[in-house]
Amino acid sequence: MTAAAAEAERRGVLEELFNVEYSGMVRLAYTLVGSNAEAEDLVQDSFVEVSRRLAEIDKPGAYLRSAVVSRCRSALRRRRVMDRHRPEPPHSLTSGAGELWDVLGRLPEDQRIVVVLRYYGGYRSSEIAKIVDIPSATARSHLRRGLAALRKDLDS
Amino acid sequence: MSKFTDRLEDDLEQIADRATSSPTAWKAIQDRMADPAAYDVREIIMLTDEREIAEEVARGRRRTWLAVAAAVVLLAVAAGVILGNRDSAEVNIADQPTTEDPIDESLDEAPTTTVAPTTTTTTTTTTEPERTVGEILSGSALDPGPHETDVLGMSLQLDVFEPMRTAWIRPGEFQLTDQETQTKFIVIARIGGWPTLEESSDPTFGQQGAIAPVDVDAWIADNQMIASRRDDTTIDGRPAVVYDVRTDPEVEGSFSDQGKQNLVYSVAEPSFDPATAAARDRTIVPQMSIRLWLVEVDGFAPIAIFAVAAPGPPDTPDISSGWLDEFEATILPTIQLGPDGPPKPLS
Repeated sequence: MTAAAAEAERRGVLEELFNVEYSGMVRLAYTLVGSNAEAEDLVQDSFVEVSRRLAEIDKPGAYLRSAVVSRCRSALRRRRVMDRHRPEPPHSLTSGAGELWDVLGRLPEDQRIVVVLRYYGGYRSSEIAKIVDIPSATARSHLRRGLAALRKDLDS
Repeated sequence: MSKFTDRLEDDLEQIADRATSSPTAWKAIQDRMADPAAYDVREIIMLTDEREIAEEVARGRRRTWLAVAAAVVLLAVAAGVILGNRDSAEVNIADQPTTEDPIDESLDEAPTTTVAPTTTTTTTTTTEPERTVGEILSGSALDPGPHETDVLGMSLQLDVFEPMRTAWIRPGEFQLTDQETQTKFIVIARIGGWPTLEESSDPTFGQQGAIAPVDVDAWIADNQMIASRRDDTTIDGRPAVVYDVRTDPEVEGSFSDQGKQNLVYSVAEPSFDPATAAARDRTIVPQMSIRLWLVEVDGFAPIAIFAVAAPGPPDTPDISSGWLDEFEATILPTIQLGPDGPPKPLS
């Protein structure tokens, strides 16, 4: 295969990945970081990361998800340096979802990520452990604590 | 599946539905892929392990002042079918046995809802004028060079000398942080008020700070902060006062997940809305060093310029110790402010 053909094939794989995953990844990142512009920026960075390592990656989609979540985690850590609160909820949310937005924003970032991956992403805790790169038991522990905190705050 | 988790899924879905994808996203990604120099810098951001960051920082020193040549997208033409589907078969991870922990087993039940595929078809052509000064945009990387923003309601230009990115940008304020260590911050804001110690100690406080925006001295005194410098100066020809301040760890404040915190300021809004006030104040913690310039704006809310040095990873806690002097010597003199004017409305 010529270098040009190989590059065309690589671009094709990335474009297919973009078509399949981009919108869903932005939705996931937005649910975590609460800013649309930041979510897109993080997801686009993650695509560049995938493109650079495509030759070494067996499962680009799975790698992309891990990269997005990793960047969201990093963004949340950066933000806590000076932000006391996360962004306000979008105006069009129902009161229940707006309340969840606030409570979710007060969770430690690891619990927040695990809860969102579980109840928005639909992943099992064993899958979450792989995506976030933590032991399964830790993922379940974050999930249990996060759920307990949400239940307490949302029920009160 | 309980009523509670059903509600959780529904509400999270509703939040995610507010996300939108830019029609030029694929073009933006291609541009980033074509710019390996920019990527070398960006790569550092994704690292989540502090030890990895420190190692990367050590390696990354040689990349400091790297000239990042890429320009902002000039002509963006994108057409594409964006299909989001989290049920990609690529997550092929065997389920863990769940019988060892009955609680965990219940947590590993398959959820009743999954992320619905979303399909968006867009064809857009946009043309943007060529820029010699980069506009500071939310979530964007800033290459070394001049940048401008009108987010404060008055135009502001400044030069940066290393790759930075926006950590936060909204009407009335913005934050930049360095890409290499994420410990060096620039925060510029229109000040609506400074909080008293009582307000600062109340984690539910959601009003404009009671201390007048020009009265930094009262804020420092009331919050029992430690000020080691107070000098009159000028910024772009305007009268200003500069302070070096730290929070006193012995003084009670409210607590964040980083420990004790003190409120710093409330952002000025033309029509102050208590409903959004809680998200319009900022905090500092004792580990940070802060140099603050308060710049007078005739007849309107003043502008505060903060250089903030946050601690680095445990093995390099003082990684940004020279940042305040560096900022004052390099970036601060490049700041140019436009004509006096009011803060920008929130929405």
